[in-house]
Amino acid sequence: MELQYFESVAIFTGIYIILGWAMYFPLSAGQFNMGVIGFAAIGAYCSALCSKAGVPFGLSLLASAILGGIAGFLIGYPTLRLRTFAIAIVTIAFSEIVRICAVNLNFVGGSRGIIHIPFFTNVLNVYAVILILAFFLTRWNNSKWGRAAQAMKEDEDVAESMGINLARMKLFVNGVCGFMAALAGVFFAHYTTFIQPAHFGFDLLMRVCCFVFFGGWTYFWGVFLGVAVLIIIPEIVRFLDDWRLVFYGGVLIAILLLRPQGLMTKQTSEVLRRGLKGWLKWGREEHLRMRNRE
Amino acid sequence: MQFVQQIVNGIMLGIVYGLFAVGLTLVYAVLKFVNLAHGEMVMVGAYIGYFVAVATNNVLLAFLASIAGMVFLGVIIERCLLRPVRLAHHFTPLLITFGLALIFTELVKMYVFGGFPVIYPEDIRKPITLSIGPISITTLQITTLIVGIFLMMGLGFLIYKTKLGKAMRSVAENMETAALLGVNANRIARLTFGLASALCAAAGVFIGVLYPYIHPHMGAPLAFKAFAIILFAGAGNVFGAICGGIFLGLVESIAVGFGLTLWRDVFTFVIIIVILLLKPTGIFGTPYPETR
Repeated sequence: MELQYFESVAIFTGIYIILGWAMYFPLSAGQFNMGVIGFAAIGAYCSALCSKAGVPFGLSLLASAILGGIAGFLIGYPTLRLRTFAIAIVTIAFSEIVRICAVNLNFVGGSRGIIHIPFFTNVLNVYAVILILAFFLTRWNNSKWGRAAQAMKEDEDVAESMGINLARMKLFVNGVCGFMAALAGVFFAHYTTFIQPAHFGFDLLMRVCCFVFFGGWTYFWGVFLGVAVLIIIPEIVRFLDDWRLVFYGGVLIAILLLRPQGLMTKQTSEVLRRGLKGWLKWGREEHLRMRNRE
Repeated sequence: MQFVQQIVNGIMLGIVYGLFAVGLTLVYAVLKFVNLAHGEMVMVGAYIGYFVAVATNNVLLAFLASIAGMVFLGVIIERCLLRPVRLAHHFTPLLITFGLALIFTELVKMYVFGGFPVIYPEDIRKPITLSIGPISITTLQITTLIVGIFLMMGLGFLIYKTKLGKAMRSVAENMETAALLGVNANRIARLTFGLASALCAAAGVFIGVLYPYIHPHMGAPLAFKAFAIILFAGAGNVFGAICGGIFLGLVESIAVGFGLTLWRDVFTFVIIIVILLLKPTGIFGTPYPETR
């Protein structure tokens, strides 16, 4: 019983980490893509239909993620020449289109959704995917393309004058965003074994935004931290339960007013690492001193 | 004749849409961010109007009280939450208003009738239907039309003919230069947000009176329509927002007339995405200002 509870918290944390990274990835190139919920819905519905048709989990996971990636790539086109607020609104509109289509189309179950999806998600495969994504993100940050994305975030015009192909980068980051969000959707569908359009509404978008911007939207470990902290706090403080969404909204506003870059940035992590190293070194030296005194 | 009736309904709907799209576009023009809590402010305005209408049974009083309440709320929001982040990264205010939207919805859902829809009192609505040939129109609709047009004309007068409006336009052009030239930019920002909140309240009461159900989740779909309108018409353009509102109202009514009720929102969004693909600044839009 106890174990099952911890397992469910761990799996939801994992799903939100993947969703958070999906939102972080375009942000790292200055693209504010709020369509993650729509991509997650696409992934969830596609894999649910595949799995019910008897396709193995690995294959349906990959197929749904690729479908999500294609959707992300396509939504990249209308947002190519838009500014931040317009990108945000067009991508939210995209999620709404997906949701309304899911409500109105009968073969995906309408507003009642899909039930009896096979149960495939466990801690192992969620965290395996997270490990792969973390590896990808670390490599990305140190790669040529990752640095190009960083330059784009700072100033698009300067980046373009340095020979960075803005359109290609934007389409790519949006595609990867769709891919990751669809992965999260697949895990969600195969964990709850039941999905309906109402799952992919504003509350979910709000949560993801809150996690990403609380933890720190400039560094992917920040997103990790944000999800971990904000999922665990309401689990410990149970009386927050009814107030959970209000709490998330309040946290989002507070962090943006007090520390707009979020809890953790690259600099913070450097300081922490140096601090930890220094602390360990100090401990070793003290240990040696004590041993010498004996 | 069904068609003409749908066009009349569409224009009515369009006036209401235009009213709150104008508020949104005004905030965008002057403060350079999109208020994601706009729909929720309409919702709160409608609730304030509902309480006053139940208490006093007077629609005019409800209208005025709702406007006063929302202006008060809007000024507080601007002062406490939006002014501190004016120089921050450009999606900071966007997300702050997003958080605010959720808090409004949740609080109303928890504390006001447990989130059940409420209906404006019957007495103040008393629809008297007039028939002009085959078209039927209620007196309420005519009143809404007149008040809506009057509000928009007042707004146009304020922006284009008064000194205050000139100050607003100069802040919209460039806040720092305007401040250098002696415009009190903080005051203009506060005023703009208050004005937008007042328009929200007016739209909220109109919705309550014309389409009598109000509920905590009414905000988000309305806000979407407003976003669609301003994107499609060109953000920051007041005239464009009014035209866009009426256009959207017509499209929706005609879609309903063809029996596509469930799909009308999809229509709206697909139309915006196509228009942005062809002309990223919107139909009446001028190129974006350099910042943001």
